[in-house]
Amino acid sequence: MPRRPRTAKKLAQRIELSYFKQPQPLRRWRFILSIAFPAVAVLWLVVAGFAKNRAPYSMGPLSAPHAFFAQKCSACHVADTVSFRHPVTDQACVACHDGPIHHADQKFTPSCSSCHVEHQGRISLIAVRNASCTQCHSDLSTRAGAPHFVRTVLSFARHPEFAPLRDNSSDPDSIKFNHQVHLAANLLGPDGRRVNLACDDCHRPGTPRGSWPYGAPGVEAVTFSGGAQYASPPTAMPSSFHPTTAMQKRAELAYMAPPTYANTCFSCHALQFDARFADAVPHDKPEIVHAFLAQKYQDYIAAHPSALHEVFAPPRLPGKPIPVSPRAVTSGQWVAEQVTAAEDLLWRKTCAECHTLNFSGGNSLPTIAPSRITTRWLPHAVFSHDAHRMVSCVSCHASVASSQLTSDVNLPSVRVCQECHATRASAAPAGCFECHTYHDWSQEKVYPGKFSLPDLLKSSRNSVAHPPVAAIIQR
Amino acid sequence: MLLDRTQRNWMIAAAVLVAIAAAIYIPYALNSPQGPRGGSAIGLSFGIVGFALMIFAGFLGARKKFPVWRVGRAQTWMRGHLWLGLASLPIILFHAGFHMRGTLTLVLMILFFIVIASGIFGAALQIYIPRKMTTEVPMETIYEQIDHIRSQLREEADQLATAACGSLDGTAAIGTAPGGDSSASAVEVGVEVSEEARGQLREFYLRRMRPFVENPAHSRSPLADSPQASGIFEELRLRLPPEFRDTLKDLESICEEERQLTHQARLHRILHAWLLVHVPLSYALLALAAVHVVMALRF
Repeated sequence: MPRRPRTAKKLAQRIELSYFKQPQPLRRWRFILSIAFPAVAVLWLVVAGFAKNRAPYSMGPLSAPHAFFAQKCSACHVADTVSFRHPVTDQACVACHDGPIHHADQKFTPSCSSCHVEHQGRISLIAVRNASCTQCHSDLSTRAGAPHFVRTVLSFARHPEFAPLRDNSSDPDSIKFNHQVHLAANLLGPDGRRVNLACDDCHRPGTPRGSWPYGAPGVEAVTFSGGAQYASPPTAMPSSFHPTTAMQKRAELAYMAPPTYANTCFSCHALQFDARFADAVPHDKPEIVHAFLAQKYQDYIAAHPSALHEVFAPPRLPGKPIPVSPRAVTSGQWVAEQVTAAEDLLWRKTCAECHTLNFSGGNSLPTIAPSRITTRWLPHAVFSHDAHRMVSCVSCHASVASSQLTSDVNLPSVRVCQECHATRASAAPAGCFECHTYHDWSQEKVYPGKFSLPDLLKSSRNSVAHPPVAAIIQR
Repeated sequence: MLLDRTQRNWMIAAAVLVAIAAAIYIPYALNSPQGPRGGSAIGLSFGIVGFALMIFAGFLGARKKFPVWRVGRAQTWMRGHLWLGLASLPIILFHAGFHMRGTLTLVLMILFFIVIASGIFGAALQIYIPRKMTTEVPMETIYEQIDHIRSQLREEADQLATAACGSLDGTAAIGTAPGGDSSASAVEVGVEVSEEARGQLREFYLRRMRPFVENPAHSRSPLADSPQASGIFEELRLRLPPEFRDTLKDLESICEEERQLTHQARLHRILHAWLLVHVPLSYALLALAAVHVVMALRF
């Protein structure tokens, strides 16, 4: 028989019935901590409130351009008149950035903050999500009826072909140019040399990069600035303003300058008109060329009066009968005769090599069709050749090497872009905003600032979550 | 608390709730122009549902404080607390769009993760520890009674030693076993036991067992270890006369009960210590979440 029986009765007799009145350490500590933890949490917010520190309630750091307002919530959060809410209104945004609407016929205008999301850290606010665009462009409709643009664009992977290629457009340029001939090997170059032309011998961005190998001597700069309008245009700057900042320079490097005769054609296509003259006619309007020729021949006959009695043999044009040599009676007649012959050569061969001349209209001088070189094929998108300078030209413009006609559009297909710009992790970004801008900032209205610097500096000194204003100013 | 069939309905309900929330969240996150945000209509809806689940989970404490409330069984509330509280995690993450940018929201999310993690840890302990307790502590008693039982054990051990050895200071006569049953005296009446044997038992009790019995939780005595204790008592049985066999058996039983009570106290602390994190942080979470609701709606 066990000497220490563990019967229910025996065990019950050992129990002290008032045990629940005794302090229980675990429960006591649980109670103390249950009071202390919430109290500390609330105390944190109370202290922050007394210190006028709004950082705890911020949903995250502001973007760098708005970092001034880190502690000045009211700059954007405007008190609602009927409720306790302080939402961000479009009026608060357009007080500083009055960007015009996207399109006059758009049916829906999203609020500023629905596309440009703040409190996400040091991000670029223009880097909007594709969904901001596809909320309309996934099924585009306009107030004017059927949209002029492609109705459905869902992503860059399913981006439609570029309009000039989609519509089988032709290049409106009137300059006759054969890329295939010019890219052939051992082309006859200046002074009878054999040359191999490269793309950048003729196509370069607006900002000069060295001298032109086949340009006129001394020609280095071009004046094209097709991308400058996208680089925070200095609308308030004087006309003498020259872009010097890196961003403006980048913008000038974005687009290729249209080739000019002086830059690219001069060395090989000299505008000679008479073997007796080393000079070439200026690459200018027919009226100026005519005056140049008349002056040249007047000067010549004054210096060489014996030329009046020489047999005249004008340069022969292919397919044209040999003209009868006219008898020169006076120097005026001689000059007119020589000018006519020189112009005949120029208008029918030298100039016509590249230009389309129109002889109609009863005028003795032809009119030259405007060149109409297209500098930007995609006016609703931006592109930077400079950003893509690590890629060879023909890897994108593959059709150039076989292009024989001016009317050929040698714009790369969107498929070429999609090879690199995709949603995969290793790809270049493929967001809509990379190429398209929503607001036409050239129409932006400029308003005077409404905040004082001391006010902002004072606010920012209270900030604990954002860098000092001085650092932002330096940036 | 066991994860058995009785939990299945709650588990299914929580899974359905999360599945519906995910089915709403995924297309919303993919198509939302500005990305998933807590301030959008859907984001706010997730926030309201998530906060409601958190409040419901918090009501378990109130339900336990007032057991007479006729609002369902505490066991049912506990199941709801467990599964709906768990479901609140993905729903709150959907609300936040898996971001933690603001200071307050970051603190909230950290608190939330700690509360959820400690809750899961506690639930796992609730499954594991009671089984371990049943297996390893057959002499289990009410936790709050342990100190009281221990004082009784000390008293019982003293009486047993006194009955066998005489007075523990070596002067008194043989007594009776605890319980006052004279027929069950520590050493049978009429049996001659040498004073040397009594001295050996007295010395063992006073030098080795009593320090252990007085403070078993912090004792470094070999008696705190079951195999070593068995060896010590086996040696005593060989060394001492057979008349002490029952006394040694009782003393060994008391040591065993002391060890089990120590083990029970340790398991009990493990089983409940996580509540020192879970409960206070839950209250802090609810307090800050309430502030977050007001400030988020305001701005």
